[in-house]
Amino acid sequence: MNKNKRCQEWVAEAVYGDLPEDKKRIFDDHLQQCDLCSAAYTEMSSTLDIMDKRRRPEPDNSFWEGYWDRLATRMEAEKVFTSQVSKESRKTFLGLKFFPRWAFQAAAASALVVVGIFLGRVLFSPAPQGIQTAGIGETQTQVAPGIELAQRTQTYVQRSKLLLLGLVNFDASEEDPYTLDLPYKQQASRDLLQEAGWLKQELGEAHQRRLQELVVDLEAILLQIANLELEEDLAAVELVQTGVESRGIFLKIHLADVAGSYKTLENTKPDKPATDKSRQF
Amino acid sequence: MTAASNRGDKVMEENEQSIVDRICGGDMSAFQDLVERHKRKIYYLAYDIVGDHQEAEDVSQEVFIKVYRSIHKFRKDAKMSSWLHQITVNSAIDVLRRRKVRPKVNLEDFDQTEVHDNPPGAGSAFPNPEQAADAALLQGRIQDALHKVSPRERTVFVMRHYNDFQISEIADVLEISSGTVKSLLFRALNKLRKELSSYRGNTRWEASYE
Repeated sequence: MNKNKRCQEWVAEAVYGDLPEDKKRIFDDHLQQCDLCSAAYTEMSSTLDIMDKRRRPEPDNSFWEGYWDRLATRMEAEKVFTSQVSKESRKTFLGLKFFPRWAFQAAAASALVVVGIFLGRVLFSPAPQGIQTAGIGETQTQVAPGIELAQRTQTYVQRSKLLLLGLVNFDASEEDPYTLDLPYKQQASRDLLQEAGWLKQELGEAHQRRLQELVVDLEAILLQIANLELEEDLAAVELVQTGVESRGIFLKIHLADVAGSYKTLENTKPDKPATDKSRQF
Repeated sequence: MTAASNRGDKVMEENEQSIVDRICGGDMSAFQDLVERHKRKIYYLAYDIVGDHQEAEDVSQEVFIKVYRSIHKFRKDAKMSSWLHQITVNSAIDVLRRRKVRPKVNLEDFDQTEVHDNPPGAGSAFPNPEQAADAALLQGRIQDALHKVSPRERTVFVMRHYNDFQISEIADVLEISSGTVKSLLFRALNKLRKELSSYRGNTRWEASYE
């Protein structure tokens, strides 16, 4: 190899003193004889001397002292903590850590097949003679409209109460977010919201005002739950907790129970028939 | 490397592994320990590559966020500092590639603030305004010269020159061969030499080695 070419390859290492002893000896010998490479070495070294004069602006102590707080704030804002905790807790929940993803997919597919077979048998098999079949969503027995309204209102309120109790009693600092099972709560909230729509139409009389307000208050909270963006959106859960408290939801539910408000609905004669019975639950 | 420093490295690695285990177990104070231990080195490396204080802090924060998010993927046989440096370098190079306008050198950063080779509380390094202006001008020239080299060349140069990485360490972090590191380092030095030629007299070698 051309000695100048080899020197060119070694010069960067040489200026940092990185050349091994044997190469350094060859390099130094060559510099003694070659003005070109000697000049190269000198120029590289003097360039590094200039680069040594570069100064980094040094952040002051407050920058370093506040570093962790700023980082933690950013991580909080980007929900890094939440997603990490949920990822870990999801992995270890009920000891399911060791099952690969395909196992869950296979289990879900099997469950779907079983449900499909069951529904097919129930819905499409011929009915035994002598029994009147009811269409999907149709009630088999006729219930007085007032009683139905009372039952549905009470069921709506009680189901909402149970749902909210689970959220309000959740302590983010001590409990695993996975135990909240927010996806289930979101789905239940959506079902309840549909029911709230029907109830608001039906509860139109003056003496039903308090129950209607309660339905509307619950609807607002349920809407918040249904719209949670992440499965374990703990900040939003806190908002729900605050909303329940500020609206005095549990007090209103308790008052409705004590006052026997649902009983008074039983005598209601709505001026229009119920139109959304299929959503009854 | 001495036996004592080898023992020191081993102890540190064991400590790091226990920190990693604690972070995986959800211990936030362990993560804070990790941040406190590495924040300065990560910030300075990022600063040397991107050349801007705000962006360097952003990069360093991104590094720790990425580490936190993927701590469970950290291999027990790997070295935490190498992993951190690798993420830092990749994030900083991303910033350079995304950047359309090069940050301007802020002369006030140099003539009024403490600098890293001065002890805290020592005040300005340049009591004379003319000296301060000259020094600031030189800083501008050096920063300009650094930004004339490619992101990879600059990364290799600042790692070797300002952050005391050995060639083999740079090769590990950048996942390239030592030969490539040497070649990038030579190209970076050659470009810097040309950019700063007005600060030297001799130009004979420049013409011959092109």
